[in-house]
Amino acid sequence: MAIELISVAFFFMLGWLCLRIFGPAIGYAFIASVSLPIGIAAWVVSCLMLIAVRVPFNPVAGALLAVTIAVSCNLRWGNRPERREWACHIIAIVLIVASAAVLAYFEWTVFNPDMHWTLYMSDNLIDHGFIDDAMRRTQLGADPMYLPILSTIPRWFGGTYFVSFSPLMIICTAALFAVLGIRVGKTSDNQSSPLRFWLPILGAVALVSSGFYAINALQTKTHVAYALHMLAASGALYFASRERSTAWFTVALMFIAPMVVCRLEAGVAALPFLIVALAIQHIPLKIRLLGVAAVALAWGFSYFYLIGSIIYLDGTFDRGFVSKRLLFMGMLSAALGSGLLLAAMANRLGILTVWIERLASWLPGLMIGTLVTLLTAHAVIWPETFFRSIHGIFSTFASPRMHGTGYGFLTLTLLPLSLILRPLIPSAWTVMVPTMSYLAMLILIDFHLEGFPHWGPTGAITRIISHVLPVLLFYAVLRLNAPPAGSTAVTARAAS
Amino acid sequence: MPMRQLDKRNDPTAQLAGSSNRAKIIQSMAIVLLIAATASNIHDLVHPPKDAAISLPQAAYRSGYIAYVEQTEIKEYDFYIYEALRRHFTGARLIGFDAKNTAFGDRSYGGFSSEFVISYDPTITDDEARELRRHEVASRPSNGAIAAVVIAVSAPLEKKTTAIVLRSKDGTRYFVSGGLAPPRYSGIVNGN
Repeated sequence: MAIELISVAFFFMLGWLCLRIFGPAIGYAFIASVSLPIGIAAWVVSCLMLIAVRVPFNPVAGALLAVTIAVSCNLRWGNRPERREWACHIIAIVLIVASAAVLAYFEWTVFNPDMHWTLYMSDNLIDHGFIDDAMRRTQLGADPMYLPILSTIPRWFGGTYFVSFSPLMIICTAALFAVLGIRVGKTSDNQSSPLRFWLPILGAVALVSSGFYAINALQTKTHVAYALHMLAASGALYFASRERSTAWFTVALMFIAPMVVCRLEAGVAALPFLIVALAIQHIPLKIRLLGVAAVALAWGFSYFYLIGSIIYLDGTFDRGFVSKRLLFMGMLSAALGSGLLLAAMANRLGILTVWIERLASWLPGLMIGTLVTLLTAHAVIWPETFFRSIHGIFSTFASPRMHGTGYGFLTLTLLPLSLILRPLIPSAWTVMVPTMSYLAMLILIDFHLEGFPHWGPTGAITRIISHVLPVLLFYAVLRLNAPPAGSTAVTARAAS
Repeated sequence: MPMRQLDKRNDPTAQLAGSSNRAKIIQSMAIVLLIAATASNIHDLVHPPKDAAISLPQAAYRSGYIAYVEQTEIKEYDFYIYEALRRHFTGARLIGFDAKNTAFGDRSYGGFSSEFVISYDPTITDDEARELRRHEVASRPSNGAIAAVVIAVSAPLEKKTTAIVLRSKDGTRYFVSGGLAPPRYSGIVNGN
């Protein structure tokens, strides 16, 4: 247990180091709520970078690289921590390590059968120091590397798996939900209303008490981490647009980029976040193009690396028939990144700037239009499979057997309440577009990769839909809590 | 229409106040909904339906992993053995110890990179067990139902590429390298 607590404390500190240069703009409460997941992501990505350049795997080497990068950024751009920052983070780290101790003791997680593969990959990395042929042959193209790398810590020191990981992520998600919701309310003209404070808090409680979300999130898999990254990215994109903040924009990209090591389908499923990031006109075009291009190219590289690692063993690659198509589709992000780099160069030379700006602002609409067209085409050409898939989604949230009824009822009442009775909320599209696109893509991915609807208690798609639940509820809270267009307080804050 | 109402309609401050009041009413409704949903959620989790397809895990007091492995079927059971073997016989060829234990031979199973399984149930004598215990080290996952004895890496491992599972009369399993297996198992070790 001790090594787990030390790891949690280290990841928290690392996450704090990674985000604190944005502190004045994004707030210490936000940083404290997401330091743990961003620290884990930074460490995992560092370890993967070392593996990719053939440095034998070692958790300490990955940690050193991540800390070196974070400290260098702080030395270059960071300020001395204020007393309030220290206080906020010391309280947060004490709380999170204490929670980890309790959770590790009670071991309150679901040991999913897929975890065998994850632990196998961890062991392989520890034993060989690199991705060996057996792992390439069986697992590399089928399972993402986030959890295997994280599990190397307990495995290295003789433990079984990272017991407190999933519950800690749920706690961080609830804290993040509350922090984002309260910030949404604070930007309004009615800062003193206690309703604006309690609404997001109760929303967070309703979310984590929802059986469908909690049970799926407690599985020792990456679902809960991915859901947290989606929520953080959505919130950050919203504030980037609303507050015209480059800091929030960068933070959003920091949460979007590691999604690809959490889930293999992220190269496709998380693409709407990049599209939305490109379309936020309040951020300078150059920053948008370069930032999104960097993420897309990193994604593309990771998919190229995966494909390159498994392709020559294709004959025995028997578990990955689902994922192989995803890997090839993920490689398209490299094309997107290259295109954006070209656009950035053209923009720098003053060529086509107006058209690039216009195209970027059209992209979300184009994406939604394309998805609607594709869904309609599927409904017309393969009506039976399509409507069985739709039925699968609704059944998940209608059947008490799946514990989704409470969440389904809540969303079905809150969303119309917020959509019909509340006026238009500026920038709310930055949350709604990725959410709707994710749901649409989920149906299409389910349709094409499985060949049949893969819903039900043990279906992967059933677990995957839990990713979007926090964002969907956050959208409802955002609509209820945020000030309407033209609010004086918001305009003043944005102008400042 | 009375003048006061007309004034109020044209007054932006009054409009803002009205809008704010409406927002408060809607937020109050939402809070009631959230409390009701939370209560319903907690009720469902505490009293799940009898035919619940998924359920919240019980706190396991650090035994959940072992309990899980012990309760599961043959494939996961093999995983337990794999756990015991993995550090000492990486890349080894494993020889199974009973007829059911064929999952290591499934090429989709990620046990060893060059595993080869034959159905076999070797037993050892007390003398052979005593000899093996001279080389034993504590095996991390050896607690629980399976008493595993593994051979120290520092022990002589002439035929390191083959691992063999042996069993004594009291049911204790010995995971040994081919080089340390009793001489009468040399046929198995050599791949017969």
